[in-house]
Amino acid sequence: MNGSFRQSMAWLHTWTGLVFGWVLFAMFMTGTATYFRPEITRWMEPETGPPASYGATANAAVAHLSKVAPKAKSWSITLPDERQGVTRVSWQPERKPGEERPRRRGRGQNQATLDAATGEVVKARDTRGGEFFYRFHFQLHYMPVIFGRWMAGLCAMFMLVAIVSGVITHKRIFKDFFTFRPKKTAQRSWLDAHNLTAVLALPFHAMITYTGLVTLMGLYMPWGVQANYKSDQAYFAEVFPQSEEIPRSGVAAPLAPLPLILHKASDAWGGGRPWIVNVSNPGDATARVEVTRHSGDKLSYRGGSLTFDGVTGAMISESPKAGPVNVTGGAMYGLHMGRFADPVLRWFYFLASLAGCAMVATGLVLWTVKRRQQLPDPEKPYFGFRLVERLNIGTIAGVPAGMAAMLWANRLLPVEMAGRSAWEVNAVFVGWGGMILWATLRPTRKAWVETLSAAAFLVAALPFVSALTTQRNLARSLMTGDWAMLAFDLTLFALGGLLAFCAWKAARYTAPVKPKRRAAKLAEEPA
Amino acid sequence: MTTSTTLAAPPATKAKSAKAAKPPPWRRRLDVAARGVAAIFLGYLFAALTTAVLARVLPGPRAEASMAATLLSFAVYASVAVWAFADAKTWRVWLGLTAGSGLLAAILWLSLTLEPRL
Amino acid sequence: MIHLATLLFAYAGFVAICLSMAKHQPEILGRKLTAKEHKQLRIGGPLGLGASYASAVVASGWKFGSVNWIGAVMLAALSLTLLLPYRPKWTAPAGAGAAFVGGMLLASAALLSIK
Repeated sequence: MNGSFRQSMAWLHTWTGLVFGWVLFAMFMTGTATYFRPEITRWMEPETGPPASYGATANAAVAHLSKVAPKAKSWSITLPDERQGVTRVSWQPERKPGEERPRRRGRGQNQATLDAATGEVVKARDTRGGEFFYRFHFQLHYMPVIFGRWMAGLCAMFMLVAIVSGVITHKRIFKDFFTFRPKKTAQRSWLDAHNLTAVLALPFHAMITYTGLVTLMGLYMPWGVQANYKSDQAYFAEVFPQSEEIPRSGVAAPLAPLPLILHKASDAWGGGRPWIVNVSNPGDATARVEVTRHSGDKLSYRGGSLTFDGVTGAMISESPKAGPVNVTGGAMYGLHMGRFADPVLRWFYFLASLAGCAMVATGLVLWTVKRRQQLPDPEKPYFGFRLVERLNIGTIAGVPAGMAAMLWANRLLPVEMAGRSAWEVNAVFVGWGGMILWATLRPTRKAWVETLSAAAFLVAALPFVSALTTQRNLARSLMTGDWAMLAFDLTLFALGGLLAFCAWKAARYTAPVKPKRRAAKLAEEPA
Repeated sequence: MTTSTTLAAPPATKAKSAKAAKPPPWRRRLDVAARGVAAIFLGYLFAALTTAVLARVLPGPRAEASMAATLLSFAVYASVAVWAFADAKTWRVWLGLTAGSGLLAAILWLSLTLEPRL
Repeated sequence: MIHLATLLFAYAGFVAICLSMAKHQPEILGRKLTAKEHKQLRIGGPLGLGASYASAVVASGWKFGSVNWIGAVMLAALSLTLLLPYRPKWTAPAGAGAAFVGGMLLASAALLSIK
């Protein structure tokens, strides 16, 4: 565009960052939470027990499925692991002749949650748990799934362009590497904070944005596959060949002991963990058991699977080894998901991702800080400015408040309420929307202080709400050695404290001494 | 476009802050819109065709070539989008992307006629 | 434990890099570096980051180790940058301490593995 290359990149960075900034902030926040998806789900299902090893529950799962669906077409068992204390089982009924393809697998009728320790059915409250944050961060909500995914993809592309143009714009990327001047002018400090969160975690931001696009590349960029294959099926048949469906023989035969099969699978993987077990034609002589490796075992998300004869328990086949490029694709997927991360690295992921939220938030605030000094009349900013400012306040405080509202709803809505999980989700948007509304009704600085304080309260009070309404509380977690739930409550305190700190900074913010008479007006700004 | 900014800028006090605070005049808006359309839609077309052609011409098994092309596609798209706003001339962006897409489409067509899809 | 060494070495390396930059010397040391000190720190920075990477690879293999290392590097740089404006005088001694403790951790891990 006009001016130098760097100027046009600065322009591009400003506007690509702004247009989808609020959605990106929400995507970043929910995505950050998703690194603790199993823990969030556990917290939201207080009826479930502590995590367990996979071995103990296989028999109980088979016993349950044999009872409720002995003649099913297939069973699916998701085993517990060190982060999740339940076994989730589901089954597909045999298709009746003439019936169309079965409906997509979902949380429908044909499923149950079993306690990992006892094997008993757990009647957990109706909740989407951490799954909601996970789904929202790439397909949003209140819109058709595919549309939401395209929206999220567009946001991610804007993010990618904003990253590239931001790096080009940043003149002193190495000189200012360690620079943070919190006591300088507002614009300087905000710019430093934006640069700091962006540059220091740049490897993460670039990785997470690019691999985010890669996770849905089949939707966004199907043309590489289309160019070589007549159909998606032809491609998948080559990359992920599925064993052919075998009709039931009608000859009854008992299923080989599942723990034995799992043991064999684990040995074949050199100690890897089995994760999902699919049993086709259970109870029949043609039974097959497919064991999928845990997604957290390797860097690549696709751990592969082994197929066993369901009656003899002998290994029949192994999923084919992918070529180097496909392994790279799987590793990119795996890097995004971070399932392989041990607790230390998972916390790194979480912190870097929080830095990403801060980067988006500071960038959004910077847009107003820069322009406020150039306002013709700071008392009456033009509409666009007011819009951005209000949406900034309502979103930066509103998204954490909304996410906390979901957890509040999880504890406070009656357990037997109809459409309970849907209302939990609505609570997110009631909270977020409420904050935006609040922000529009109050003067700027008051709006910042009040919304941030409200968000801080909503987050930090959650451990108490939980302690009053359920068995999940700090003391019990400590006594039973449930470190994940203990850390969950402590993290809520910390995040609430962080929001309270922001509110406090906003409240005691004084205008920096600026040589211009505009300085007095800067007092309105948050810190 | 700079000239039109100064031409349309009213009183001196506002001209100073015209860069950020004042809504830009229609020519600048049109320019931004043209580049936006080029970056988003033509850019996607170009990236999609690049992906398809790469998937055809890269060596190795087809599944690998397809995957490699797809993994690269977002880098292509992002680069094109950046260029659409970096180039001094909007018409050059449009011409470049249209001509480039045409060329890629021709290569793809030729490649598909020579060797059909699996 | 070696995870911690990775983080500490990265921090020490960044302190060295930061100290070798002219703009940070007055706030950290209160003076400019001599030419010799400058040269030593120019070597010390990459050395610290290299030691950090080596310890990460030793601990978790080159695949996971590389990912761990990038995480540690980001956290180390962040902590230094946040320490700098508030307690600039602490950064350099903390860097030396980090290098020492990191070295001890690595040494003890090596001794344990020999046994």
